[in-house]
Amino acid sequence: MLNPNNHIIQALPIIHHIAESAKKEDYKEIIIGSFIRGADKKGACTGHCAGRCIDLNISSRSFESVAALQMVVRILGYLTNLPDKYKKSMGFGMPLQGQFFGHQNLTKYKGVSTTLLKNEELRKLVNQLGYVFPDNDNHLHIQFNWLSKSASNYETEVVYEEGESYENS
Amino acid sequence: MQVVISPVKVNQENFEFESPDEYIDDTEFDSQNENEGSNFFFESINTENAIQLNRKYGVTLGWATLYDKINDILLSYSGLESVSLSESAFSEALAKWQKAQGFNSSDCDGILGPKTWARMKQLLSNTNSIQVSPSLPSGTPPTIENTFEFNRWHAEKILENMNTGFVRAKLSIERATRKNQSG
Ligand SMILES: [Zn+2]
Repeated sequence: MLNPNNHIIQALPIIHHIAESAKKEDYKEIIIGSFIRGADKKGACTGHCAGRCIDLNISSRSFESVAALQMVVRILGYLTNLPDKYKKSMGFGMPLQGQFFGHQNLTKYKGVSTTLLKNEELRKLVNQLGYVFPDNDNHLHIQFNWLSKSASNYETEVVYEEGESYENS
Repeated sequence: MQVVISPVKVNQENFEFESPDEYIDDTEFDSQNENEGSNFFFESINTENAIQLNRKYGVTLGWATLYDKINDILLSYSGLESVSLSESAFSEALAKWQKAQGFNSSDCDGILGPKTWARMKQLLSNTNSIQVSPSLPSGTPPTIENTFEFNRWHAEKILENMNTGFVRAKLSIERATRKNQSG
């Protein structure tokens, strides 16, 4: 488990930025799901466990809705304005649900072409910010490693561990 | 208004935000300060109140980072050995420590607030060469070299946003009953 005394929790400045941006727009639908969890089933501490991922939900819960799509577009828009030091390639896990991947039969947790995303604005934003992969329903997963000096591996490799997804919601 | 006062739980290993049902009503912080209760005997401290205030003071006074060291001091007052004290055992042991330190009985409240912390800090700095930085979040975030301060500053800023309702944390009830909703 992460000790805040000697580990930078990378998720914190990202959440802070999102929260401050929402405040500027008086937008109140964002729910922070979880961002720090225990190790996965294999005992590896990656992603959420290492404090490098965030799960976001919407107050109305379902990600089938247009409102959820709009929230995700909005959040990715916020991220385009992240301070430079945090603005490295980010991975986005989005549900297979209607407004995102249109219930296509895709493998979860594996990076896919942004062309598979239904919404054009979302495609543009993901292209600008990083990469996308299908994920579990009803949340937006964001992963990053802005502390890493060589972000190159991170850009191509989906570090999201399948085992992590079932531990918590 | 609800506020989470403990991004740093007493257990330093856990840096999760508290779930909303563990949120603490902030209103009493103004009226019930440290050493200002109506407790006649330290044995009957208001443990619930002490726990709540200790969560707040742990962060604002910065002593949460030194929890292990404080725990060591208080252990002998708890009747326990080699454990990390629970929040209630912590405040009860602290009340005894306050008494042993010669605080007025009304000040033996189990709350590690500014007054008690001033004394405790002295004791800690005599025995250890440790840095204590009780700074409150200001306009600019600490650098990443100050790991804990960096984390704390951002955590507190996020909590501010939560308090004003711009972001919310998911309900733990929901977490328990809807396990596979998301990941
Ligand atoms: Zn996730």
